Amino acid sequence: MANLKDIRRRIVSVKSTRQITRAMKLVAAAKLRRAQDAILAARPYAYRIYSILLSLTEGDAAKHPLLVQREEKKIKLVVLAGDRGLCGPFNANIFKASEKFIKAKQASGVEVQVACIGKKAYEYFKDHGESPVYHTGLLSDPSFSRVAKIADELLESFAGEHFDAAYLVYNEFKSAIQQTVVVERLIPIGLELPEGVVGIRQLSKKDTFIDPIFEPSRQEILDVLVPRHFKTQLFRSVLESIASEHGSRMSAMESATKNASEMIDKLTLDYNKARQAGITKELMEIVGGVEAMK
Amino acid sequence: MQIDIVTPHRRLVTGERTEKVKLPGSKGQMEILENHAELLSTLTTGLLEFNGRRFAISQGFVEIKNEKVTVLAETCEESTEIDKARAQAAQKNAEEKLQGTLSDEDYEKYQLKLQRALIRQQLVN
Repeated sequence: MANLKDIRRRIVSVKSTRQITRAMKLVAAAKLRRAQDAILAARPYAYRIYSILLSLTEGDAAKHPLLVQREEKKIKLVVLAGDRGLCGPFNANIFKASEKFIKAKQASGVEVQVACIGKKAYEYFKDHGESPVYHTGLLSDPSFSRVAKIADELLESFAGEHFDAAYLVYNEFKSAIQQTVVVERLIPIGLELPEGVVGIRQLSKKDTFIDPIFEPSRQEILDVLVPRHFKTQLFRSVLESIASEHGSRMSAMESATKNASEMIDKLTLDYNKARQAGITKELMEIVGGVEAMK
Repeated sequence: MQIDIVTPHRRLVTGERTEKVKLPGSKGQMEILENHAELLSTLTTGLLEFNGRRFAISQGFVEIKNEKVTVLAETCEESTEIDKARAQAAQKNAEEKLQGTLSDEDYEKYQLKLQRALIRQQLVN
């Protein structure tokens, strides 16, 4: 009955796999909830910064180098993926979108540099003949100050004309089961916002200033505000990507658990059939033996 | 008037009523009373105070409009949640770092850290 034993062993192994995937699903769900809370908590700040920025740049009174477009010769692509795998198509979708974007840009004669956030992104681009800049350690502890540091580096090299524009590719969080990959321009900063910050489009006239006092001055406030706005946007994207990763992992693990259960059912059926066949065979042998003794 | 304090990580104060707010403006401490004119100002690391509640904040903005004060700070902690031992350790660390030779950037960074640590301790005492 070697067959019986084999099946039993497989059932045990699939069961323990199911246990792992189920645990991973639960962990991802808990982390997803936390990530969603973080997104919600970051919204009011992003919203206020943005509305102040809008009222400051209204008309043409104030200018800022980060708002001015240059001709694109060299650009930077920031790829935001995950540190870990086993999360469905989360990482692969990002790579696909980045490759497409890079090809399109290169076809029009633009030089593309890659910067990575997330271990998976770094490994992927390293294996594909790029030498990406790697920002590490952010995803395990996504604090504003860490994001701000990366943002500062980007702003500095933009100011030093190392690139003319920066783009970001990341997973936008729609819901726990739906994430969409988007490519967004980071620098120069566009004043129309991506959809992520809910309700921002309803910003009405009465939200802008009439004739306020500026301290120290309008330009100086703008000089501080624009980079701050940039950091806030990058921070939001990072939070969204993290939430997407957990969402993606949750649904991947959910279906893995389901598949494992189906497999166990099938194996159990096979096992019972084999067992029944064994019993029948033994019975036949006994009956045969009795017949022979007559 | 109403006051809101918002950071990228959370919303500390929402719509609380007060008559007077003390703020660390980038050009010096300021005090906002009711019926203040519309104002937009940058804030520096320092102490924010209203209704007897005290906060340590670091770089941000304040917006005053329609009897509403909105403070946007990169970090903000209320006096009740500050860990004194940690602030002291941070002060010591920053002071030690400032003793050595540093790049301009790092010098600025630790100077800020030192400032923050001092303000925190000031709040607790």
